[in-house]
Amino acid sequence: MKRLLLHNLHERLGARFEEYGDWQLPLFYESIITEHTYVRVSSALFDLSYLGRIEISGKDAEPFLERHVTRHLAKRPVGRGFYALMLTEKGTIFADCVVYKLRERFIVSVNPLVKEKVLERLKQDAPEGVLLHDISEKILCFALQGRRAQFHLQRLTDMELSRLKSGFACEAFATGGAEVVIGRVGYTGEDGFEILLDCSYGERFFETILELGTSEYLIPAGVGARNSLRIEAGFLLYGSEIDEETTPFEADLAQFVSADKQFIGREVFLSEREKALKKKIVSISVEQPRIPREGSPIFADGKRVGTVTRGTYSPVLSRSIALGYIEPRFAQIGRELEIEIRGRRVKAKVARKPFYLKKHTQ
Amino acid sequence: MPERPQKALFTKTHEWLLVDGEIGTVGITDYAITHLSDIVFIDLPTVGTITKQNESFGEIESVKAVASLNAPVSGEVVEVNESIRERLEVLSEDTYGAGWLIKIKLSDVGELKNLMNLAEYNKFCEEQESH
Repeated sequence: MKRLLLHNLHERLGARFEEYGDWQLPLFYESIITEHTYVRVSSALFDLSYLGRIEISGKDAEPFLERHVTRHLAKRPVGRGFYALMLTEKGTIFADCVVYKLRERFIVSVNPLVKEKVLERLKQDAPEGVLLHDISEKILCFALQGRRAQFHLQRLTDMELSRLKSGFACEAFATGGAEVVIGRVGYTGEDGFEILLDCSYGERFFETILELGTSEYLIPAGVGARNSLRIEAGFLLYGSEIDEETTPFEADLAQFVSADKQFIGREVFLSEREKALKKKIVSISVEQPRIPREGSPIFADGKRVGTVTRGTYSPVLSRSIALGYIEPRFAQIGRELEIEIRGRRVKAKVARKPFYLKKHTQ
Repeated sequence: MPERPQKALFTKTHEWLLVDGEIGTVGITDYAITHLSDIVFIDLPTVGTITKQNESFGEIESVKAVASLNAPVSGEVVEVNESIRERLEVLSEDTYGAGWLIKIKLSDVGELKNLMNLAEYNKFCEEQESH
């Protein structure tokens, strides 16, 4: 089992741990629902150092990476990041990633379940003049999420954070002798930042920001809340909703594929645009507090039509919600479904996606 | 956290039992509640249900997990705490009082010797924590 560099600090803060892939991660410190709610009404701090971080540099880095990701890289200015997919030759989802475009280099952040295979694929394909570094151990990653995120982070830096516009703006800058990369991104449906910094500063950063923030309603949060937040906000998780058996169309991620550029898997992607789907992702709202779990069968008119990928309790809606795949002809909003939870069927409905949408206030 | 009552008996699956005459009141312990966290649903039997020692009489669900509720003793359910379903916070606020789940009319008092007393249960929980 791998432990986070700050494992002992998380333990001191009262974390309960859970296994995820090879990792032992903080599931929650106080309670999942509390931490979820803090992100929605104030802010919370996550240690995401288990995510894979790959740095790509060298003079040919851009055309090289361009072949692998589904969105335009060259067209973007330095200081912009984006969410994109990497496809297999068969047009299915090899990985999803966040790419930061910095001066003369890129940082690609991926799910830990796919880091090794992504690294392997990039290495196989990298020409001379492209440098690949797995910086996952050297550089830690934290996320500060919630409407008060900027307030809390601004107390630690002179860099004017309002300069980073929402929608993946990112910047590398030196502070206190170390380099920090900050991106305005999240996975929670709220405003927020990801902070990448050298491992020697990790503990001090985490402790300081919490210390300053305690009186201002900032708490640490674990992967339990990260999961319920992302489901509420309609974000997919590799290994749960997306994998090499799933196409961008089925997962409703085709908007993150720019068909007018070259990338691995493009031909199949284009040919599939015309084809009928076998399954389609849906958001499901459950009319009971019981939570559908991974693999729960979905029925329509008494017939099996799909499977739940992940369910949770939504503190915002005060009910259970889930994501899952069903036959496309049943995927219209409001369609009545039944989900079998441990042998008993409960009523459910196809819901509008996402379950939660932030009110734009900034 | 509420204090565990001196007279209570406990199961290895973290249910408590307080016996008064032939009636046993059953709940789940503070240990179970802390470890489940975020309880969102509880499924309880109806009055008249027959319970068997160590067998499931319902389930409790949290955001992260589902746990079976196991009967500390065999017998018949004579009362169910219906109001707890709507007020799950009572489970942690008054675990060994208003947080009770069902009352069982015991069919075999001899089964009580299979349960842990307070000192044994406290030690059991410490061992579980150190795993």
